[in-house]
Amino acid sequence: MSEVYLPKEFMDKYKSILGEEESEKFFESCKTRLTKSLIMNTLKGEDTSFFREQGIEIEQTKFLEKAYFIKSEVSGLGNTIEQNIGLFQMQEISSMLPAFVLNPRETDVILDLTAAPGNKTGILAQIMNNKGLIIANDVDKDRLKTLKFTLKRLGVTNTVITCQDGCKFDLGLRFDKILLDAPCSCEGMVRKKADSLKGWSTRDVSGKAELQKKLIEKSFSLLKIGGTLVYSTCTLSPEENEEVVDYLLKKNTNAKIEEISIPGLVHDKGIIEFNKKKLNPEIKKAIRIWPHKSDIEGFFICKIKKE
Amino acid sequence: MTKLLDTKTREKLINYLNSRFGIEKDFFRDYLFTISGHSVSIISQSRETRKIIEQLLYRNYVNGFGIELFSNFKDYTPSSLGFGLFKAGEIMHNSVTFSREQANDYFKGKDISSKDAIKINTLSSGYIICIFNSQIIGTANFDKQSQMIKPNLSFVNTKIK
Repeated sequence: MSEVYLPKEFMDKYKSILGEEESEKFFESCKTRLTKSLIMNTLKGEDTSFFREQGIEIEQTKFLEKAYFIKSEVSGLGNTIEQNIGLFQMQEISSMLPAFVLNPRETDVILDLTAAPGNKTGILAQIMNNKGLIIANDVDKDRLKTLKFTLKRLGVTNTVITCQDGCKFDLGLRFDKILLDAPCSCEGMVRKKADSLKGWSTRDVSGKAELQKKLIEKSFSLLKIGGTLVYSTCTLSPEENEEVVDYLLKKNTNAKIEEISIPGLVHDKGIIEFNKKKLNPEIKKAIRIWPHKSDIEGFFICKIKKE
Repeated sequence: MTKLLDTKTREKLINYLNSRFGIEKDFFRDYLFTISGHSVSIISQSRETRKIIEQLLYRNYVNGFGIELFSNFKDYTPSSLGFGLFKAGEIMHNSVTFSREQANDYFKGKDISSKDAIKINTLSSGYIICIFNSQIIGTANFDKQSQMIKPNLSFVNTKIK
């Protein structure tokens, strides 16, 4: 892996969050390559014999039954026949989790507000067995092309695709469940792309946080009473995670955070104090995945119910 | 603009899929058919979701629907990726089973001789379904006279045009 770039300001920030000793472990983990992973597409079968036949060693994850780490050094797996026809999907383990946390039922009407490139929408469709209805939305028309291709390849038939600005999204519908995997500063991606933090700045983090606050507020307003919202990002900045949730809780007294249970996954609780600010203690129920603790991509997930 | 496909065309397409490939008509019972230009897509439906889908169609909010089955319904041009929706066992005729090498050639857009296929299921000229390892990998155009199979892939079709 080429040399990983960690901005000084980024390092100072995580030293203050994690302390000197633990932050060193975090920085070291940022410099190690992420183990590739995949998830079988249950809409097309669950047979993993192809990997064995091709001499590719895969190892089932402890916390997701259909997800595997790719243990062999292989290239071109993304261009195999099996990938082309959607038998499996190459995807980071962490980014598979929000769909399972949302746990849609076959009768649900779901909104995936920022859906492109469609990997999470694909998992939602699998959990729903291609039943119910998913509205997969993205503001970017070019990214919608990728989304459409992904869903077609995976054989997803329960999805309607829309192209609206998530902050203003309105179809005149209320949803049983909403997935908001928000655009973020992507700090968790550093193990995949060595220079991913080159454009990182506190200003960018603040800008993303502002957008995320608009998106989470809009998402919550689109939920039916009793509905569930899962908010996730592939970043570790509390400004883009716990503070966004705290903002929602302050503005909506009927927003309640629910516990998340993923047996076998090593994770931390949500942070409730940051930069001398005290956040709602309920945010402890969110989960924070640190790469130095779980050896997967850094991630944040929070499950919120509308009462 | 996307709209619901009229009943007559829907029946015509289902009859085609039944007569050409032997796909049971009942397979489509729980699907709505939509049309946008010449492209026909299908989407799973229940009584509850049908109302929502119709409402979205009426308001013209939609950018894409379910899975595309025909890129051009007028000449029954199937969507290769869309046909991956079916199970290989549901195809009764006009299908061919490839080896891994042939399947790789298929995705490269190379013509394949039907004589080299692992298994042939009563082929007649026109669109056929290609299978590898009990999975549908796409569709192709078969010419009975030359016995050649031409992959129906967008980049191949663009080159032909």
